[in-house]
Amino acid sequence: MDRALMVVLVSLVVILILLGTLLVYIVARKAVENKQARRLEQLQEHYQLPLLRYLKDGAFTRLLVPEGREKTEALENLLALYAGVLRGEETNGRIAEYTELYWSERFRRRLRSRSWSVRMNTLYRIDLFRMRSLEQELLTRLNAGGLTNPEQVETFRILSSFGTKELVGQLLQSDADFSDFHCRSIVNRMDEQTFAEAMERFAELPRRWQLSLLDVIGVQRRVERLPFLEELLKGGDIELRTRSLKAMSQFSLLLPKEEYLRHADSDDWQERVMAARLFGAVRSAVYVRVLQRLMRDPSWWVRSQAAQSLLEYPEGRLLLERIVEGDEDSFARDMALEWLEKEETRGFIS
Amino acid sequence: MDSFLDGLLAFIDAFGWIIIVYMMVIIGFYLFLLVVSLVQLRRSYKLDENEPYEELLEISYTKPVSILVPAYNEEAGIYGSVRSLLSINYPEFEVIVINDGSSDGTLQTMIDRFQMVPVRKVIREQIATEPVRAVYQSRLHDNLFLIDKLNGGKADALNAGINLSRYPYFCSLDGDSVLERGAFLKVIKPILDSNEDIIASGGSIRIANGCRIESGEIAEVGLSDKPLVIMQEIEYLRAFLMGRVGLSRHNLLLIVSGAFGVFAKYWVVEAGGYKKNTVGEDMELVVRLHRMIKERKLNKRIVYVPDPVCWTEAPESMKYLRRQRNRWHRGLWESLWAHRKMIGNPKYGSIGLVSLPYFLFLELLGPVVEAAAYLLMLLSFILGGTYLEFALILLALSILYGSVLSIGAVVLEEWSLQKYPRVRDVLSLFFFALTESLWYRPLTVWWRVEGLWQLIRGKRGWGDMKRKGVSA
Repeated sequence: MDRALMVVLVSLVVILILLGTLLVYIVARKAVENKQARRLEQLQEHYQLPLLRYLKDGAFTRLLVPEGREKTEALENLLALYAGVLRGEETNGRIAEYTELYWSERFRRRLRSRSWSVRMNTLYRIDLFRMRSLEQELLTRLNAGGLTNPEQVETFRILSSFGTKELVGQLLQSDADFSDFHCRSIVNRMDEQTFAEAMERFAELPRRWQLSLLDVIGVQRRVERLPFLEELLKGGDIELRTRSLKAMSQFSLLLPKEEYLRHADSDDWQERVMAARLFGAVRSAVYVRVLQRLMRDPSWWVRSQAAQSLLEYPEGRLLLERIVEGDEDSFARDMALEWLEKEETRGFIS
Repeated sequence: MDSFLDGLLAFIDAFGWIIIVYMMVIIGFYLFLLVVSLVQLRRSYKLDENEPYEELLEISYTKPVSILVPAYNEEAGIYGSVRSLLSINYPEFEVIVINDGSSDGTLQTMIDRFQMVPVRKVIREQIATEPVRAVYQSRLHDNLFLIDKLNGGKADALNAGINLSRYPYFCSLDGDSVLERGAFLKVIKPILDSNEDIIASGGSIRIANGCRIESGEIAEVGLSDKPLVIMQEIEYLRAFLMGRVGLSRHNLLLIVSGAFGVFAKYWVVEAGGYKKNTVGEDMELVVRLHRMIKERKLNKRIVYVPDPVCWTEAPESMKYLRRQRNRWHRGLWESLWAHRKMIGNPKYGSIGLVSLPYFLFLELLGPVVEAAAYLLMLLSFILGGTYLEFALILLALSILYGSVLSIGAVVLEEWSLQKYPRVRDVLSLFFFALTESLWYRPLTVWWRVEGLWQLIRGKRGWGDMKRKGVSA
């Protein structure tokens, strides 16, 4: 009993002392940090205008040379702020020029930091400032291995913006785990040459990258890839067909073709949804009858998309009203009514 | 008479040792969680949080989300909450307020302030609910909807919201809470990053009582000066930063708080939606999702993200706090009872072998043991003599358990998120954490035991809470 009491009491005292020390440390640190933050804020205010003048007109002054830890930090924060807000070739060029000149060594060092969050933050900043001089360093680190997954993904995103040659080859070799979001982000940043290379090697790429390429064709409205998409539409892969239809429905001014009609008869409801969406985007009389038929589709999603697509047509309202009044299918009537009312509320709002 | 006394003393001895061992095990377990959390949180210390989210904002990348706000007699706060929701930083979302048969002016407030007009909506009734009287849409914001339905409880209201929602993900949010700017993106990011392997993701809940709120947004974070509220804040820090970071790491998480979580609708519907007539519907759903994952051998996970914070109003009086704790404890029991088959069952992997037993022995029965410990301590002091030592051990252990671990949680917060700007706030958190075992801990222990007692007597339902409306 006595010994148990001793053990408990001693450990209690030890832990309390430990926590007490921690308290002193944390409070002291917080006070110091708060003070530093205020100082940093003052400095940022001080350098704000000169820096802005340099970024806009190229008027460089000695004041902007980063000397000392505090000043450097203030300038980096300001630059990060402006790089996120200001757009334009010249401004971006100046940001890159400035950061390359003063900070490429500093960032190289930070990439080797032992703290994961410091390394990640450095990658974000390299991306933001477009510091191309670090391209080789990034490639070396990537190939050396040992990076965590988020670091690998972020590195690839940066390399994609840099238009690094061999990016596609690197991606194919990488064992990193990419999510759909990461894939699309990387593809979205590719320059013409890299994108073309990726399209050439389409068949070799894993499914995730294929789908991302198709999505980006749609998002960036790369109409020149239409023949490629149409080729996929002829193929037997339902998922690729569906994604191609989706991409095409984002193109403007697409010529109506009879051959798109057969996707409305697909066994897969998702393909029918995308076909209905495409018909709404093309807006040609060829598709009206099919859309009317899709209003009676067994799938809720197909009916909903068909109604929405019909509303894209000049006579769409009239067609939906006619369905509401006289269609024998009650699901079609309900859906038509819902979209007509949605239209009306939208009218109120705009 | 003598033999009776001897028997009693022998009983106290044996029982006392059981309690001591039990408490040491608990403390060991929590210290382990504390260390895991320290390592986890420290890793992303001062990570520049805005950078990775920027690209997410480009519309083509994000998944649209339906935000469900169940409202039962929330007249005071509903306008502010909804207004703050409408301004969140997210590209595509809809807000669905579900008026669960309120008896106050919740419905009329919504209709008047947002110019709601009745619309016809084809509702896919994927989960059965109480009848819906009408669906409204706002003329001011075309992504704001209002469901007016007969009263059926919070779970039923959420199910009605799920039925109406158009988007593949939904977020459940209490009518009286305020989201931090960007919290939404942060809580959904793991889902986007994971290729749909993560089917639910929850953020942190913090107490808004001491914060300055301007037009539905947190303008300045601060700590309340009421001891009862500060103690709750410490409890939240402890539950979220210490408990959940550690548990989430190993997919052991059992609670995605009902006040702020994002779920994949498909899987929630598959699992059958929220369970009606339970007071802990949020926990029950998560347990059921875990059960489904294991039974169907799915490769899915549920995670907790510490950084996105939802600020919510905490009860400031003993009366409502007591009701809340009674209710929480009954909810915990209901979830565990409904899934008792999973407890200790190796078929359910670590959830069955670690998480559920943890909740059963530490969370549910813990208060009973602690209450016994307090009684025993009292008794030992009275008996005196050699029992004094006994009492001291118990006291030391309870201080270790209550105060020291709470201080640990405060340290954890300062170590990682640092939401409180003022040094004063941190000192005050420390001071109150130290006093926890002396007054707050016994109180909550008592309330939780009371909750169990109510269960035995067959009490159900919610009880109300007086709200002043944090975001008004």
